[in-house]
Amino acid sequence: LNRHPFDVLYLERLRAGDSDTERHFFAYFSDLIRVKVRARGMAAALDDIRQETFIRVLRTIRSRDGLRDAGALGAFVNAVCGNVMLETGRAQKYAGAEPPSDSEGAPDPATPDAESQYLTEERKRAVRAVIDRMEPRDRELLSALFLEDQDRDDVCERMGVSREYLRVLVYRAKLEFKARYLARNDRRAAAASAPVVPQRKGVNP
Amino acid sequence: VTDDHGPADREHAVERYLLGEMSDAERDRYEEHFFGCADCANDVTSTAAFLDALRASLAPPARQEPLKTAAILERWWSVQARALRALVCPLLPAAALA
Repeated sequence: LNRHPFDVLYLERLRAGDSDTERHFFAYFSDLIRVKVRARGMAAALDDIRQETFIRVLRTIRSRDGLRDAGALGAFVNAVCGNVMLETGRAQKYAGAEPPSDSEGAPDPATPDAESQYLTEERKRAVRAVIDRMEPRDRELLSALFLEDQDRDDVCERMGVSREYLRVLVYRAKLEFKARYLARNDRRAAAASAPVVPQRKGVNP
Repeated sequence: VTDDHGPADREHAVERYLLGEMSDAERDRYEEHFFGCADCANDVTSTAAFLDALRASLAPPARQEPLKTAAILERWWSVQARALRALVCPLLPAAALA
């Protein structure tokens, strides 16, 4: 298991402002912060929270008495992000502002490049295949939960399943998706790396 | 959950987390764990991406924009009118002279 992806060298490079390390740091924790923020229903404030978290973490790392334990970097980012989220929530509350509507589950709006668009299409096809293989009842269950935003207990009771059933359903669907998605990518990679056999002159295939 | 990796696998922690089925305390512990564990971080982000794709795939296809008949007719008429003017206008001076 890769329990602690960060070592002393990583922390040193981050402290020194190494651009590759910074790029990795931002990419790695951007995804995790997005998941955490969305889990709290604060997706509308994601960009502000993420930016403030990175500013504070880097400031601490680069300070004289900053973080020294590389293995604690993940927990540190999580703690800072938690504080920023608390402050953001409080600021919104004191300002009397209505919490911005949060489209839970909606992907972040961003302009995709060609590669990521291709991957998204591949992913959609793999997910579609998983959905098509599901029992109609399971499809109905997921639609009721994800699209119609119905109360989970009500849906489970109406359809005669337990909450545990739902967890297992999502878990199995995810495994099948991974198997299909990875299989597609493997086939694509194999096709791309297949050796090209040169044809001899004057010989028709 | 923070120190021991096992329960995260055994108890479908990712699914419970992303489906919002953890208590506040459980959620805090799990986040502390996956921020520092590359395997769980990967599992969380890939499952979240899968759920996004699942939602998108379950959604009915977006309705097509209805044809704007009036705008199309107006555009067609302006093209015809221009062609008619181009045809008729050169003849007007000759007709006037005749």
